[in-house]
Amino acid sequence: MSFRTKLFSFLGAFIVCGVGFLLMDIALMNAQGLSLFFQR
Amino acid sequence: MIIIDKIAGIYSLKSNRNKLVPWVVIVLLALVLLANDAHQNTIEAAQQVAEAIEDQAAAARTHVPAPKLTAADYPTVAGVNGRLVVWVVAQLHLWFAAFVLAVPIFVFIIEAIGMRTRDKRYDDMAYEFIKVSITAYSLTAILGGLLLFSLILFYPHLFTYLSTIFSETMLYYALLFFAESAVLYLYYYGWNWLQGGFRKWVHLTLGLMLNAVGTTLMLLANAWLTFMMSPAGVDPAGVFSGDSWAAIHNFLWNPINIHRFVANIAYGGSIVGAYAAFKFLTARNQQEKAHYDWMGYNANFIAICALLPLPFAGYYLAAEIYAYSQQMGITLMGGIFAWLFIIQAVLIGTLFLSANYYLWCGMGRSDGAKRYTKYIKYIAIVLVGSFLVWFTPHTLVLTNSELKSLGGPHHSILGPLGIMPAKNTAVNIMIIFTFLSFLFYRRSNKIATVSWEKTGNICQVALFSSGIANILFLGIYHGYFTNTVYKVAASIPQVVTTLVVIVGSLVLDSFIYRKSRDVGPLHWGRIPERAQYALFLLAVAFTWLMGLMGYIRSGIRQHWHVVDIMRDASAQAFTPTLGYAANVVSVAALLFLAMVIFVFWIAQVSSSKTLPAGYWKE
Repeated sequence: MSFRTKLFSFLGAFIVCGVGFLLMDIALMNAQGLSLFFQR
Repeated sequence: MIIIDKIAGIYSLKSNRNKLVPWVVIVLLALVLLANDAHQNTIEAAQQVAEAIEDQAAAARTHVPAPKLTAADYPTVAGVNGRLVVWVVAQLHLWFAAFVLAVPIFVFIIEAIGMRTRDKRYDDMAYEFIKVSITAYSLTAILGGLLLFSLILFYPHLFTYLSTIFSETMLYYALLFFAESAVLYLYYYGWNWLQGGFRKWVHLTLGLMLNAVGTTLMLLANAWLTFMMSPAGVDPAGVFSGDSWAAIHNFLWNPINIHRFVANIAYGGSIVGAYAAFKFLTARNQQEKAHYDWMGYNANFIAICALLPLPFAGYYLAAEIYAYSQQMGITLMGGIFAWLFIIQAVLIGTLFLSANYYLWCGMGRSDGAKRYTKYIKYIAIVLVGSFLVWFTPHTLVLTNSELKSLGGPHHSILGPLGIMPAKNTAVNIMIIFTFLSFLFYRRSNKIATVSWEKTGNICQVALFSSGIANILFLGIYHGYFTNTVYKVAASIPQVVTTLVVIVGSLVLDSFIYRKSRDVGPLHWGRIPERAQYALFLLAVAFTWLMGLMGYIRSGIRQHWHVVDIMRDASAQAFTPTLGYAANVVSVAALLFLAMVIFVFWIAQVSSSKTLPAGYWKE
C-alpha cells in the first residue's frame, strides 16, 4: 500500500468518523436543551 | 243492625289497626336500626379519633425532632478523641467492606468463565481470590462492630436519632449480615464439594446470592450516610414522616451507589493484584511464578476495567452534589477541599501510570511484542502530559512577594488549565491512551490473517484521532468560549466519544484478529520483578485515594451531623486543616495495609504444612 493510498484512506476515514462525532455532539447537546455552536 | 254496625265498626277498626301494625313495626325496626347504625357510626368515629390520637401519640413518641445538642451531650471516654476514633475505625471498616464486597463479584465472573471454557485454571484462581477475602471478611465484621460501639459511645444522640429513622433498615441489615455469612461460608467451604454438572450450577447460584446480599448490604449502609448529606423523609425540624423508602431513596443515594459499586470492583482488583504480586515475589519455582503472574495480570485487568469508567461515576456524583446544594458543591471543589482534589489528581495519575506500566512490562511475555514497543514512549508522553494538566491548580497558594511577582493568584499560562473542562479533556485522553496500551498488549502475541488488515488499522487510527480531536474541540471551545452551563453539558459528549472510541475499536479489532495466528506461546512468569511493585503501587494509591476522597465526602457536611437538620455541637465540629486530615488518612492507610499483609500471610500459612519428625506416635 503506497503512502498516498494510506494518506487518503486515513483522511477519508477521519472525515467519516469526525462527521459522525459532530452529529453525535449536536444530538447530545440538543438533548440537554442546548446548541453545539450557538449560545442561547 | 246496631250490633251489626258495632261489629262492623269493630272490624273496620280492627282492619285499620291490622293495616297499621306492620307499618308501626317497620318504623320501629327502622328506628332501632337507625339508632343502632348511628350508634355504630358514633363508635367507629370515636374509634377513628382514638386511633388518630394514638397514631399522633405514637409518632410523637417515636419520631421526635432532631435533638439540639450542646457540647455536654458528647461523652468523653478516657480522654480519647471521639471523632478521631470514629473516623479511623469507619475508614478501616469501609476499606475492608469494599474489598470483601468486590471480590465475590469478580470471583463469580471468573468462576462462570471457568464453567464456560472448562479451563480449571479459572476455577483455581477464583478459589484463591475468595480464600484471601475470607480472613478479610472476619476483619470487616470486627471493625463493623467496633464502629457501632464507637458511635454509641461517642455520638449517642446522633446514633439514637438515626436509628429511629432507619430502625427497619438496621434490622434488615443485621438479618442480611447473617445471610451473607451463611452464604459466604457455604460458597467457600463448599467449593470442592460442589463440583461438576448440576452441583457446579448450585455453587454458581450461591455466588450470585452472595453478591445479591452483599450489594443489598452496601445499598442499605449507603442510605444511612447519604441521608446525613441529603436528608429526605423528614420535615425541616427533622421529624420523621414514617416513610422509610423516602429516607433511603434520598437525593444522593443512587450517585453514591453507582460510584461505590464501580470503585469497589477497581479496589478489589488492585488488592488481589497486590496479593498476586506478593506471591510472585515469594514464589519458589517457575511454575508458581507463572501462576501468580497470570493471577496478577487478571487482577490488573479487572482493576483497569473498573478504573476506566470510575472518573465518570465520580463526576456524576460531584455534579449531583452540586445539584443538591450549591454550597456543598462549592465547599467540595472550590473551597477548603479543593486542594485535596489536587492530591486526588496526583494519585489518580499514579494509578493510570502504574496500570499502564504493568501492561507495558507484561508485553514481555510475548515474543511478538517488539512490534509495538516503539509506540510505548509516545503513550507515556501523552499520559504524563495529561497527568500534568489534571493536577494543575486553578488558584495558587502564594506568599505576598510571590503574588506580586506573578501579578495575582493565577498563572497567566498555566491558570487556564486549572478549570474543570481542561481536566475533563485530560482524563478522557488518559483513558483512551490507557485503552491503547491494553490494545497493544492484546495484539502483541497475535498475527492478523485477514487481507484488509492495513485498511482496518488505518480506520482504527482514524477513529482514535477523530475521537481525540472531538474531545479537544469540546474541551477548548466549550471550556473557554461559552458559559458554565455549556461547560458542564459538553462533558457528556466528551464521555460518549471516549466510549465510542473504546467500543468501536474493540469491535474493529475483533474483526481484524478473527482467525489470527499466535506468534508463540505466552511466557507467563517472564515479567520483571519491578512490575510487581507497580501492582503494589496500584493498591496503595487506591487505598490512599479512597481515604482522602471519603474524608472530603464526609467533610463537606462541615458542622452538621445531618445537613441542615442536626447540628454537630461537639468540640470537634470544626473542619481540620488539610495537613492534619492527610496525616490521619495516611496513618489509617498504613494500619489497613498492615492488616492486609496479615491477611496475605494468613492465606499463605493456611496452605503450608509442617511434618514434625518423631513428634507423633507412629
